[in-house]
Amino acid sequence: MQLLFVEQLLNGVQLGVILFLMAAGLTLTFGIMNLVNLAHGSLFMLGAYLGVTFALVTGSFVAGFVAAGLATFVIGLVLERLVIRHLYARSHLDQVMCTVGLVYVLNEATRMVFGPEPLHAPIPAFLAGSVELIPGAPYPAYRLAMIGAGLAIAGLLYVLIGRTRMGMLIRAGASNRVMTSVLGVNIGAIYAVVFGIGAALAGFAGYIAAPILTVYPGMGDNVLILALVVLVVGGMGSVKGAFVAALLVGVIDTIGRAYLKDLMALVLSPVAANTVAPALASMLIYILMAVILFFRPQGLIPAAGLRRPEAPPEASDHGPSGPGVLARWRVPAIGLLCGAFLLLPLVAGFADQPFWVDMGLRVIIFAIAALSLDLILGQTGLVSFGHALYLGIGAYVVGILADAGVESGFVQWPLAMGLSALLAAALSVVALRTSGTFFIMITLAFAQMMFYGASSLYDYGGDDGMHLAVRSTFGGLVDLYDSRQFYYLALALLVVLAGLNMRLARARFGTVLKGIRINERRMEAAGFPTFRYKLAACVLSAAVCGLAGAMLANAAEFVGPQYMDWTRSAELMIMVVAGGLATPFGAIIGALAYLGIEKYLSDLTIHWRLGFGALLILLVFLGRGGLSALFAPGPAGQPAPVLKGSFRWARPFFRPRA
Amino acid sequence: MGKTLLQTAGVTRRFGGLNAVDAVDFDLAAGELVAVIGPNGAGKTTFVNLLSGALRPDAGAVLFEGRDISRLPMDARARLGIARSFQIASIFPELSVIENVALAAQAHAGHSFHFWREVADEAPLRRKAQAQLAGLGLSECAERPASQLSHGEKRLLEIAMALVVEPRVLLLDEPMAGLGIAEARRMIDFIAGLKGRFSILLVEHDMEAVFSLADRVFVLASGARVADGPPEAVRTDPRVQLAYLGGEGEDL
Ligand SMILES: Nc1ncnc2c1ncn2[C@@H]1O[C@H](COP(=O)(O)OP(=O)(O)O)[C@@H](O)[C@H]1O
Ligand SMILES: [Mg+2]
Repeated sequence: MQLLFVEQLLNGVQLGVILFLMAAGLTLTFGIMNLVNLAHGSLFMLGAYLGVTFALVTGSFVAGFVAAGLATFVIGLVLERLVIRHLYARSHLDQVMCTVGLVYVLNEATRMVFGPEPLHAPIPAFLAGSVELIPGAPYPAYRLAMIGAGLAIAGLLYVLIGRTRMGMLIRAGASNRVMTSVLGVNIGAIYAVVFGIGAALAGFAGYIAAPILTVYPGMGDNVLILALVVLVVGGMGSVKGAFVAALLVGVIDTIGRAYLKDLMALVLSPVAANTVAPALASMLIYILMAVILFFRPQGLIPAAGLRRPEAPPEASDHGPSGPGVLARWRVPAIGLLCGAFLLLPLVAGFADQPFWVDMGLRVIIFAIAALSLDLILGQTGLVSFGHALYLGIGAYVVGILADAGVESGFVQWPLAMGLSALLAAALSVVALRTSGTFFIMITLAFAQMMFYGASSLYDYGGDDGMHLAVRSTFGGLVDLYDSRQFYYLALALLVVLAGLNMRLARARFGTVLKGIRINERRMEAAGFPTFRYKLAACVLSAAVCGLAGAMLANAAEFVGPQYMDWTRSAELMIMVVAGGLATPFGAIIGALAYLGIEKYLSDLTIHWRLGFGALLILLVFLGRGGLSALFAPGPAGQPAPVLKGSFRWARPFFRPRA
Repeated sequence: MGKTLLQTAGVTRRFGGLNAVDAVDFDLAAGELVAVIGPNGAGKTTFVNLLSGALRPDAGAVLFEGRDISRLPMDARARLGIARSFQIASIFPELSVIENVALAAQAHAGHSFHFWREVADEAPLRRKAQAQLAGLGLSECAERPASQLSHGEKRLLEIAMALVVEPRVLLLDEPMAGLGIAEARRMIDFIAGLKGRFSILLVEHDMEAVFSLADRVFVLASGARVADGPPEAVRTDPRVQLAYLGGEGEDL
């Protein structure tokens, strides 16, 4: 038992070392360039693929090691030059969008070159045996070597940052950008090298982890999310914090998975322990993160240099205020959109293409989800990267209730909304204690936590999800098995929600959210308890997204953890940004455009994500304000139609956006 | 002068090893205008942040009408009647000028959990905002986006946002910084007009302004109080001269 424990502890340290190599690059680029780089996991993957390939060709494990580092360093430099460099001055939202685009491109390019099958990375012969660290407890030599190599690289990094001129400049940059420029060093070059080093660290990590992981396109994404947890727990921008947190996360995760079941069996029945323990074990580090952040919102060891400046708000993502090039077509375009949505089932009937209705339904459901995300992302400026979580919660509520024989939508749907709201309240209380980048990463981590939690619901299909037993019933009022009825129900809900959203945006509540987005400090100084309003926005938004999830479960007749995958959250975010922030019109055309392009590209080629990623990157650089900006009405102050009497409630729908 | 309204007792704030504000005792009476001066980096902004609640003290206390408010967040202090302006003008550039002021007024007009009724229809908020803008001579640009205002007008707008809620205490952090001569004149006149109606703490570099406006001058250097007294006494205080010589050597 004790010997086993030592072994598990070593496994934990080994995971910790890998996480540290990942987190070090992230924390450097964040601390120095203020960059959120979600493509870091793809560099991990590239290190594994390129290193292993080189090792297989040359037959030398060490050559592969060198190649992994060198190749990712060079790729890092190229990426920095072509894309990343243009993101330093951009908002975190832009950085997230653009680096997600890079993830699509890099992962898909890897799939194209190496094929979708996992690549087998052999353990080199000289490390194939095992070592008896403690007599009677053999431990694989390779894993020990991983720990050694990782610690050696960490040591090198320590020397590089702590002892060299280059490191001094990096630290100077980390605590005071201005100083670096006063010293007359070429900041651009420093940034490029720092990014390259971070990339190489990720490459090394990918390569040395390859023999014990599966090497496949996208392998880096899960590691990335763990590394983000490390980053947040350790304190963003702090290398020392990353080291401590990486070991903590690595050990707790490993030990939790190994022993939680036994521990829980002491207090619970074996059956209960067997069900709960795996779910809890996979959620453990996220719970740890939440607890640590609750007490130390800046992480365990916050970087000394990072100051919260009193500076005015950063550049707005909310598009140009002038009229769009298609402003004249605004009313016809909205009319066309409404007409198309209204008539789609009829047209589909005439054209004998019933699946059009299903497509339309999907667009409507995602438009509702995007609309809900827009309340916090677009209107409040909270970059939530875990919104798909509530899509999943809504879906699971329907799935589990249907499984238990509760089929009424009048019970299921409100419960889906209520539970989403409740969960959002609990999670947001923690997440809202932080801001900016922290918030992005925490929402992402929470969604991932629930993703793993749902994946361990073995009674409900685990990883694979489950077929929905039966669609929700509405006491004979609406039959969801009739696709037209389902479609019109969803459309009606979308219209009502979009209308409420527009009213809300112009009421006190929406004004407060807008104020928070533009300048939260000013709102506090004016006397608004901003936390309350942000919390309310998160809860409302989650409830609406839970409703979308309930509908999605019915439409797909499927419930699974896939709904909560982080790429789903990214998709919702892309819809909102592509369509245009803070306008319901934007969420709707964003959903339409996203699903349309997805359908079109995926019919064209199986590698559609490559093109899609590229589109996303272009969107960040060229598409200020999203699609709806093309149709934006003239500047504020333009005379609006005056509506009187009983039609006054409709006024917000006719007045141009301020 | 009336009774003491805002007070600090040994209030201290550290940044790393640096005592940005170091055991400062300070008081502000009702209707009084106190100028806080000191060289750059003396801790003036940090002190204002401690009073307004943007920062929590590491030691000591901030008292409002004798009540310890050290742990209250900024918004709660604002609702008690402590309004402020920022050293870097802090407004809502995307909103129109009148929306800026109306939004500030909204903070003190009950809660904002209204989801249906249009703000633009809330006549009391708009009336208050209009009156405030008129008082500052900003009525003409009420409907313009705040981002289009000149630098000086932005500062006036920020003060309008602070004043619209009829605060008890007004904390102004360098309201004349970066203004042209004419604009600074306009600001000084305006602040002179506020004198006596509010308790005002004015952080300022412009010595002419300080000595023409202040009832009392409070000097900070390296986070500590160096002098506190009537303008004439402070002007001739050798310790103040020294603090300034050690700092920027500004002419007193
Ligand atoms: N958020 C912060 N983090 C670290 N140091 C700070 C921070 N704010 C201010 N300081 C430091 O505290 C000292 C006082 O600053 P400040 O109050 O802005 O001075 P003043 O307004 O008198 O020019 C300065 O040395 C400044 O560098
Ligand atoms: Mg200052």
